[in-house]
Amino acid sequence: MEFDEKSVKLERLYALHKNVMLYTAERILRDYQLAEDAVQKSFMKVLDNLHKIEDPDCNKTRAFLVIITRNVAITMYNQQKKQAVPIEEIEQVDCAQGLTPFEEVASKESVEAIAQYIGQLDKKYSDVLMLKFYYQYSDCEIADLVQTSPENVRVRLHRGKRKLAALLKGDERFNGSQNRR
Amino acid sequence: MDRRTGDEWSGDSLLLDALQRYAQRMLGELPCEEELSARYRNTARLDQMIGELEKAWHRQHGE
Repeated sequence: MEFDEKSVKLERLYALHKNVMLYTAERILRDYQLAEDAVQKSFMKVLDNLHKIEDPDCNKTRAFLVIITRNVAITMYNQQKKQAVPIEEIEQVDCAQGLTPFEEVASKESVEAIAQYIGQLDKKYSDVLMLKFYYQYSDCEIADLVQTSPENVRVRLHRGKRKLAALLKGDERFNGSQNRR
Repeated sequence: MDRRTGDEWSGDSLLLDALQRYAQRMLGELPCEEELSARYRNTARLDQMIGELEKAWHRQHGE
């Protein structure tokens, strides 16, 4: 990507989304100047991934920037409070848990229900699920974006998938044993 | 299964649709841009910070 192209894209991203990024950060940090710092830090991460952003003016990009800003602001908040964010313990991975529960679903109407269940997850899980499967970032890239270790990303992915699968299993629309004929 | 990642969840179209829907819902819960623009009318300091960040990034990458 050429210098001018990068500059134009960055300026467009900034003009379109700075307000929602400020709002996201300010809600967490409760301080406008710190929120500005969080937006700047978020853009530092965005600059390294500028080539992956196809369209600055779309909801997919806007949601990506909200996720990045939220994670930067949470890290800043934790640092302020001197709360070390613990590296989550690695759990035994049950191979069967990797199997997709979605193949059991008969209807596209279920998209709304799955989206609702994703919304019920803790943001640290839904954010990595989004970055992994919707934005298709690698574990290492996600680790850099949300300021944690690749190992922790893998733990969050595993736990997020397990929690989402459990929610789906509790819903008869997604419970294969009840739907299968 | 996604052959690149070996992950059974990758490439699942229903999951992708649901994640897209979740992103829309997430954005829908935020104030509209009009309201945000009114709230953040003066962003001169941030504008300058981002301008300097951009210059530094280009310098660092030798452009």
